[in-house]
Amino acid sequence: MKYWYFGSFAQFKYNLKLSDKYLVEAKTLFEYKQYLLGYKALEKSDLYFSKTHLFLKRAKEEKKNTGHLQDLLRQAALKHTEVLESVSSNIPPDFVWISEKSSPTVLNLEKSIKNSIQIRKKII
Amino acid sequence: MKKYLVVVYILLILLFTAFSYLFVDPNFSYLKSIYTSFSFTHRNFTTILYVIFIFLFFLFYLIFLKLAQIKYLVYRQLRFIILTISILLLFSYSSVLSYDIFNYIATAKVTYFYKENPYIVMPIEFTNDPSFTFVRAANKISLYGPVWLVLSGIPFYMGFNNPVLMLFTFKALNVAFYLLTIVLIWKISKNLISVSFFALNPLVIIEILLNSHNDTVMIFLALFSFYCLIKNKTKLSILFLILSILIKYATVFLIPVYVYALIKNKEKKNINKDRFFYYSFISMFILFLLSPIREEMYSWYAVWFIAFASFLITKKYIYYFVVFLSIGLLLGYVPYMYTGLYTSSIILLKYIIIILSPLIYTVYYFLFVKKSVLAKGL
Repeated sequence: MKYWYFGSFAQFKYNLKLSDKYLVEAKTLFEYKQYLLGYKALEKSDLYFSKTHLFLKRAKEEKKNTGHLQDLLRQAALKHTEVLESVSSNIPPDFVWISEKSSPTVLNLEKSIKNSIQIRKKII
Repeated sequence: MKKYLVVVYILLILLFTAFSYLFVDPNFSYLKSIYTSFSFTHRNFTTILYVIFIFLFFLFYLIFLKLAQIKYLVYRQLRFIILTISILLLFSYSSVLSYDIFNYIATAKVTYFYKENPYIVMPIEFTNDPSFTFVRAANKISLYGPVWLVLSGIPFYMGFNNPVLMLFTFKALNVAFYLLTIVLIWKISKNLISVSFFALNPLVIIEILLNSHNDTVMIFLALFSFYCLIKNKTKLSILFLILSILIKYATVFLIPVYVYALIKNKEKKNINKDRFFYYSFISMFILFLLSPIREEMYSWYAVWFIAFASFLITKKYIYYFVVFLSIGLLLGYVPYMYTGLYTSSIILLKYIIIILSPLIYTVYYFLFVKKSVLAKGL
């Protein structure tokens, strides 16, 4: 699908869509206390969200008017932040995820969400 | 007499080419110097002129068809007429009755200039581009297939990103396919009436040569696919049918007919061309009738079945039905042209006008023609 979305505008949309998708996934997983999966989904959401900015930059270099996409990204960042803040109030700051067949993983959930919010706030 | 007829017809086409420039879009700033606003401020006069043009075109069309029937119109003369009208209308203004050519240009620009996927990014997203201000479907992603997108690269690069030049390069592409379709109809039918039926049909002329719709590209590829099938080049035939479908998707409705022909071909039985074109005509006509379900019944969709009807000239009902429906479809533009409105009542009026002329002919045919044929038979 990544190659179908060729072009800086299309890539921007692609990355924002995936960022939205993984944020929703993370929120749902946190609600069901699936912290490890939620944590990973949030990492993915952050990764795609960070990329959107790169494609906006590229679009600007290509002399495309990016005003409407910047607005879109700003609004998305606001909504993401709102969702992340609501999630952070319902999860523990740290969590030790003990898998059946592998060593336990310490998840610093509070730090992770703060980091995610920080990534979004840079845009706002 | 015939020579004068051709001269008058060509003069009429020339006048129509000039008439088309009354419709220059006020937003198309590149032609600001010749913008008159005439068609917007003198709607009554423009509409009357248009109706006169349509009736004269059909009068000439019927005369030429008659001349072809009595073998008074020869190949050389017909070729001259077709080439002359193609050249003249190549220089007409494209968006008299439709703005699709601007959509083709916009989609090509999104793809080849901005290097964006037109199935994801809409022209409206390039807010600082003045060349999209006159595009009517700027808020839509590409409506056409990938083969059309590839083909549109040719006129786009030949137009050097100049909107006025591109208007003509895109038109030239459609004119080329119009001529190729005619050559193919001639190759398949070897009949001048069939060629005249398609090539001189005012609806085909207006929608393809004037309004520059890409339907003829799709139809040419479909016809070429059938031509390959007749010549037993099955693989090539399948390839061209797929290419045709990937222009505007409509020819997907030909697949059942195509499979039927393919089976006949495999059984080493000769394809009954008449039956084959008849089924193709029916398929495309059904699709045309179903088009309001998707959006609206646009007159250029008639090109889909007119091309196949040109092989059915012995079927008198179809022959005249298509002629009368073509009149109805072209007159269907009148309510909008006259009022400048596109409300539901105007669309309803358009449909009434479209239906009226083929309906009158159908009633006439079944009341008088069919009856007299039956009476003679008895």
